Amino acid sequence: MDAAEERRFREFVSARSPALMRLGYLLTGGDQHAAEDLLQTVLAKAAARWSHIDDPEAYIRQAMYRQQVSWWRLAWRRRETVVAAAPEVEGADESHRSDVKLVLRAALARLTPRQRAMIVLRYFEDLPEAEVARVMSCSVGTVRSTTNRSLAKLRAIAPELADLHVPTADPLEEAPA
Amino acid sequence: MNPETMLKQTLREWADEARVPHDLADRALRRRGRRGTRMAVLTAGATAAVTVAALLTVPGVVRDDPARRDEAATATATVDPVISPAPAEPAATDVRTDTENSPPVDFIAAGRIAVSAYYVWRQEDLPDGRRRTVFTWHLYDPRTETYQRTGWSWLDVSPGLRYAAVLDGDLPTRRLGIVDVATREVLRWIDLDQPVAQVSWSPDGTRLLTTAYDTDPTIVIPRKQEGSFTVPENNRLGFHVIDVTAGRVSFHAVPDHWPGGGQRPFLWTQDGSLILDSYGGAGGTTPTYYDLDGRERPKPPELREPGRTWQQAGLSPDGTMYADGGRPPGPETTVRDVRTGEVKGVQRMLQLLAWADNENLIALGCAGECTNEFNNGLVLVSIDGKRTVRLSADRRNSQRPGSWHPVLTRR
Repeated sequence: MDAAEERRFREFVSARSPALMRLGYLLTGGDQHAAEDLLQTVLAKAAARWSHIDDPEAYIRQAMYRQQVSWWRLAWRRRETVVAAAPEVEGADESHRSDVKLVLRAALARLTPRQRAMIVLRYFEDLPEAEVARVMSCSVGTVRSTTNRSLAKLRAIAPELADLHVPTADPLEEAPA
Repeated sequence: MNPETMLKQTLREWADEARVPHDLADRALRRRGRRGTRMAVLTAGATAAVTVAALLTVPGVVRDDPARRDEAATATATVDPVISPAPAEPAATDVRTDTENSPPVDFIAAGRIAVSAYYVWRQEDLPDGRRRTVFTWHLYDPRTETYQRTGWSWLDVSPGLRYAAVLDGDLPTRRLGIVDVATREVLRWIDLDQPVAQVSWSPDGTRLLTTAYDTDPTIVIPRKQEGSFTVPENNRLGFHVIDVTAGRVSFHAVPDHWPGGGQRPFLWTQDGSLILDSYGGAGGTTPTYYDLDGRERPKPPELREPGRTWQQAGLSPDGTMYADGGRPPGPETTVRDVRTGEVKGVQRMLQLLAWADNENLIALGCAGECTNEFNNGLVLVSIDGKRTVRLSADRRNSQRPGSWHPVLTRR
C-alpha cells in the first residue's frame, strides 16, 4: 500500500466506520468489543489487498457477515450479551412498545450468529432473498429456511411478533418483468 | 405498528448504541503492517540465500567415542539470520474442515491452531535384514489451501505457518533447510556437525531444536513372528539449538544412559524457556531440563511435570487451565483449573491435542461408537464437552503403516 492508497483507506474508514460499526454491533448481538474485533479483523484483511478491491464497502460488509458466521462455527464463543429476564408486557401504550423492543433485542441476542446475520440482512439492510443468498454464499432456499427458523425463535420469545412471517417467495422474484 | 416495522425499528435503534472507536484505521494498518515487515525481512533473507553460499559446519564436539559418553559439551557457530519472529496473534481464527478425505486434502484449522502438515509412515526393508520407518510429509500450501506432498525426510512448521524446517536425505542427516511455506523455496541450508533425525520450532518461532543420533532411531530388527521386532540400541548424541533470527547454531552433547534405542526427542517446554529430556538421569528415565545454552537446570517449581495423564494440549492460552486425562476406562479427558486442580469440564475424547482458544480444544475423538481407539479423527470440542465439530475424516487404525499423523501448529 503506497501513501496515496493509505490515505484513501483512512478516508474510507473515517467515513464509513459509523455505519460499519452499527452493522458489527448487530451481528455480534450488541457486543461492543466483539463488534470492534470483527470490524478490525475485516479492515486489516481489506488493507492488505486494498489496491485490488473495487468496491470496499461491499467487500467489507460481505467479509463481516462471513467472518462473523465462521467465527461462530468455531465458536460458540457465547459472546452474546447476557440479557435479563424478559420484562412483562402489558397494555398497548408507548412503554409497552418500548418493552416489546427490549424483549425483541433479547430474542435477537439469543439467535445464533448465522440466524442473526440473515435477519440483519433481510430487515436491517433490506436486501432481497437472492442478494442475501449471494452475500452468505448459500441458496435462496437456505436463506428462506434459516430466516423462518429465526423468526419462529423470535416469535417464541416475543409473542408480539406472531404475525411476522417470512414471505414464501421473494417479492422481487415475483415482480413482472 | 406491524411486526415487521417493529423488527426493523428495533434493529435500527439497537445499532445506534454502537460506539465508534477513533483508531480503527490505525489498528487495521498496524496488523497489516506487521505482516508487511515480516515479508520484507523474508525477502532479504531469500536474496542472501541465493547470493551467499550459506553452507555452514559447526565445529566441535563429536560424541561417537563411547569413552566420552558421559561428557556434556557445547560448540557454537553463526550463520546469517534467516527469518523474523512469528506474529503474536494468529492471522485467522476461522474453522476449516476436511471431513471427506483421509488423509486430508483441504486445509484444517480451528481458532489459533492449524494442521500445518501431516506425515504418512511406512516401513522399508534394509539390505541387512533390518527395517526402518520412512515418513512421507505433506505440507500445507497457502496458495491452494491444500496439503502437498514433499520429498523431505522430516519437517516441522513454524508458528504463523510461514516457514518449515526440513531435514533432507536419509535419517539421521546433517542437512537442515529453512523453507518458505508459501513458495516452497529453500531460504537457507544449514550443514550440521552432528546427524539429526528430528527438528522442532520453538513456541515463539525464533529457534529450532534438533535431536542428534548416531544411527537412524527408527530402525528395528524383525523377528520371525510377523509384527514382532527388536529395537536395537543407538546413541542419542545431544541437541542443537539454532537461533534462526540471530543466526547462532549451538550443539550440546548430552550423556545418553538409556539402555535401549528408538526415538527419544528433546522437547520444548510449553513456554519455550527450557528443553525437556524425558530420557534423562542415570537410568535414562528421569525427566531432565536444560536451558538454551545446554546447561542442566532444576525443574522450575511452577512447571507442570508431564505425567501419566498429562495431555499434549497442556496449558490453556490464558494459562488458567490445563488438559488432563479422565477416568478409566474412557474415552474421557478433562480440563482442570491450574491453581486448584478442580475439574472445569469433561469431554468424551481420546486425547486433547491443542487449545483452539480459551474455551475450545482440538482433540482426538473416536470414530463411531469407539469400539477401537485407533479408529479416530480430529474434533473441535468445548471445555464442557457438549459441543463438537468434526475437523477431519476418520482414520482407520492409526497404528498401521499408511496411516496419517497431523502436526498441529499455531496459525
